[in-house]
Amino acid sequence: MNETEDLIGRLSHDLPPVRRLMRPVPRALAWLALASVLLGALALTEGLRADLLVRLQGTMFDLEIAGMVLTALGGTLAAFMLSLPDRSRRWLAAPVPGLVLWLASMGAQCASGWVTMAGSDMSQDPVLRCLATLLLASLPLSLSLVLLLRHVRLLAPLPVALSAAASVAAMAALALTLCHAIDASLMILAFNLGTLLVAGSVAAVLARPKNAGALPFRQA
Amino acid sequence: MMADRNMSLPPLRLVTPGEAPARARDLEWALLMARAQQGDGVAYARLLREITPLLRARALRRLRTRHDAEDGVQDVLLTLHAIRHTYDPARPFVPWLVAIADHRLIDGLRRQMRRSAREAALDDDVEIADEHGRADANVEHPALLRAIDALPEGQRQAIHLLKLREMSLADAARHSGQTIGSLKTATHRAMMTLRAVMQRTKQK
Repeated sequence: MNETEDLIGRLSHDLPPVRRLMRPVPRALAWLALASVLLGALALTEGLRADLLVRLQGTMFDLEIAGMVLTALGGTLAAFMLSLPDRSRRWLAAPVPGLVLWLASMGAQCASGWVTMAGSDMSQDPVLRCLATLLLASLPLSLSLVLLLRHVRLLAPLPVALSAAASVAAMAALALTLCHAIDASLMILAFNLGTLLVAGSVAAVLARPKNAGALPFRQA
Repeated sequence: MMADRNMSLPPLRLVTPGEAPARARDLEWALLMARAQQGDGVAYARLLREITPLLRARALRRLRTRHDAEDGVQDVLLTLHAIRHTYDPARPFVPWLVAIADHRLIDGLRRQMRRSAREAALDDDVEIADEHGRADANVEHPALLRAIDALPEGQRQAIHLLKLREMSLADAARHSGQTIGSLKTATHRAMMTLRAVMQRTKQK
């Protein structure tokens, strides 16, 4: 018990003020705004796909885009909410409707054979360029989220990591879909699900809770 | 009627029956935390002291021994300290605190089980290595030697084998007949005690 009393003494001695976190919803919206700027810049530099306007007239394609946007919105909100210890765990469900819409519309496009399943359209857009778009979109997004939500490593990181992964995967897939003409081919399915899986797995590995005892704190 | 209400409360509920005192206490803690966020160490110390019994009761429910529970309490306090900027004073304090405590205590329980299930737990090794140099540098210090002598048997043996004779964990485990997990725990506790003792010595 004396050890605990000592610890309290050390923690409260010479206590520096801290900057309180902003509320989660404004934080999530601010991050989404920055992410949109990044995606916009990426679209400008890479150029939008030539057939975008034509494709936007297809319902399934629109639903797919809507699914990605909803996943990104829900995932981001969920990640910022779940990063706080006292918020409801039910926020984990926020990206689910978007994910269902996104994957279902993609699946429907595949099933209806709207575009070839063999990925023959890849010849127009080499795999490496698609991969580059994915990385350019997802790396800064992931890193910024890790930075903004880093305190959660002491609590329950997995739900936050999974929500953030869904959000980042949706945004990266959105960038891919808007910039490259590789719709419902097997390749984009692989890319999208792959991004989701990779982001999720990386998140799960990084998300092992840390030992608070190893934290640096001011010694008396 | 009142009796019925009390009967329906969970047996180990830590809030006093009757919502008004609990709400007043929550408000007071919220204010203390808000002041702590602004750098008020006195308010912070008072808050941490006042929440410790609540944390201890929760820790005792989850962890096996009094020692483990106390380690758990300290872990929760350290975590609270590290993420104190995430508290929003407009929201109730106790749910925030309890959520942190439960996360950490469950993690503590998992770590405890992992430690006893397998050998490698890197966090502890790193900590031991960090402390190693400091322990060696001070090893001639008479106050430190006295403090080591005053440790409980298991902890003294762990310090002796791992820090003074610089054995590996595996060798020390073979030599002492203790498991690696219990050696690590004993070392960790001993180092905490020694640190506290040496700090008091320095202050005198």
